[in-house]
Amino acid sequence: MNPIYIGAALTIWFFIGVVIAYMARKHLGKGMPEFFLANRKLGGFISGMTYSATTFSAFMMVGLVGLTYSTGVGAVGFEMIYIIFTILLLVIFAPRFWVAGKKYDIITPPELMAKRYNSRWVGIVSSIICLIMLIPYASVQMMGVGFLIEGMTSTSLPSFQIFGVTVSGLYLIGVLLVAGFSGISAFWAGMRSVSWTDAFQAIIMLGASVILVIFVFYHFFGGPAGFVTEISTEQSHLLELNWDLSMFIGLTLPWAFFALTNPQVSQRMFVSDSVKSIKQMIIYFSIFALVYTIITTLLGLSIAGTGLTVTDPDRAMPVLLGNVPVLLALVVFVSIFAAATSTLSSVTLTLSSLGSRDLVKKVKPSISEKLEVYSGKIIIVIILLSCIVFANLRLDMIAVLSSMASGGLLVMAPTIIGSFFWKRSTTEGALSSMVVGGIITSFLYLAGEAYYPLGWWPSFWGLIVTVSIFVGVSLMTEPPDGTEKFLDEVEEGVEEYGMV
Amino acid sequence: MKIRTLGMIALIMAILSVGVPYTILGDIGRIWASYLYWTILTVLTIVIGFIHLRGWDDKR
Repeated sequence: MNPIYIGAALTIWFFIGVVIAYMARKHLGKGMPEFFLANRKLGGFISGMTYSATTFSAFMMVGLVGLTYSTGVGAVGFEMIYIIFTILLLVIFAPRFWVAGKKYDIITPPELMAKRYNSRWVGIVSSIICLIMLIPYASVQMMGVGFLIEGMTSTSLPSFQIFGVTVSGLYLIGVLLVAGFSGISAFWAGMRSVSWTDAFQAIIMLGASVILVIFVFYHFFGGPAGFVTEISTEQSHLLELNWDLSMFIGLTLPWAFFALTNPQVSQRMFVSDSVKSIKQMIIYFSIFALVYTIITTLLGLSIAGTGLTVTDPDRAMPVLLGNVPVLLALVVFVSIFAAATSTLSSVTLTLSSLGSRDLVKKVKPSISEKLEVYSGKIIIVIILLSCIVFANLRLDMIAVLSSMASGGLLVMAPTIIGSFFWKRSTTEGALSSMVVGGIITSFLYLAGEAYYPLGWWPSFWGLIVTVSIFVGVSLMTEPPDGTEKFLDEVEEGVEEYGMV
Repeated sequence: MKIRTLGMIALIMAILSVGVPYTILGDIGRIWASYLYWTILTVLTIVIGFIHLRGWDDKR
């Protein structure tokens, strides 16, 4: 495809995005809750769409499509289990996060844990884990667009070397575009602009994918029935479950707890303006998630059925877009760009809130709110620059990288669940489980598959180690002061708001 | 629905979503096998979630 078309589509997109961010900025008030949580005033539709757009990233239309194309139906189970657990976790935890957030003026998930465990170190350790693990995940968003631009354009730009790393020109342009747009969205008006642009982007993501799957069915297979016949006869191996069980569990476990352990989504449990809005957020997300997952996995299977030549699973979608009408390809491209930027801007904003609230503020408690927001903005720039560097290293497959990041965050699951549902859980249990679990999980990921004990993935071992330490150490130590009060107040609040 | 009930549902869903495809449906190369099964489990969970949400009522 001619890169001028892509440039024109992105320019239009950029213009719309900037207008939305500008309108959001006009509503921006002062202070931390305003910048990082839109003052807890988001309605149900915006809450649902920002939750969906933040959760579903470039991974879906690039990584998941590629994974389904290359490994078949196992990828469907992996993603559907994510939805099943997210819905259950949301109905259980969203009321408690929301009540605690309002009652104690909490802005970040690590701040919530610090409050419950009465220890700033719990907040600091969980913030550091989030910062380390989410840089690769955020970088994956940039990589997705980089691959897409490279794969879709017929022109190539010269590559060059920076510190021994070969950087491709077109790929770098894709990376910089995503970083730039996400930066503007997060920097300008914080959660308000991010959530407004997210809502717009979520609609584009879903709309474009629906049009694409309909076109693919009719153009390549003569209709949905033709697709089912083709896939059941010529590609039936993709409908058989050929994922090794250890790989399935290893990739799915972190995904199942994603709603709790990934701060960019769990922070969204603080932002709704009412009980009705939280309800709507869960309902809109459930429908969005189901439809978007069915479409992306069907697209992955379709590409296998078309017989198009794909050399690398992450290039399955770019290859498909090279074989559909230019206008449709551009709309889908923009939708993937939207998915990447909406996730990246949310991750960046959340990490900056963690950095300013849970690290800077804890080191220098006397800092003013204005300086706190300012330090958050500096952190946004630092995170984006780190991601640009990481993305240009072009490590491994997108899907695996995404799951690895969530695998590292999984070590926080017992501490978060214990915050609300286990009175006996202690500060020592939380700290030791996160630190030891984090070190073991990271070590196993870095050591590589040859070192996985009994062939089971790091997330599996990480969770076993983390739960054992969390329970064992908690039973040997005493719960912190204020535990009963915290739990009683949260449960009273949940009951008072009628969320039972 | 009580939290304990939702926790039990999560456990049952975890067992069903891994157990059935890996023991019964995994070798069947048809769209109505694992693909449809996982989709139905997800729809079922959405319905359970909606039923639970219907009970939320802010009377303040």
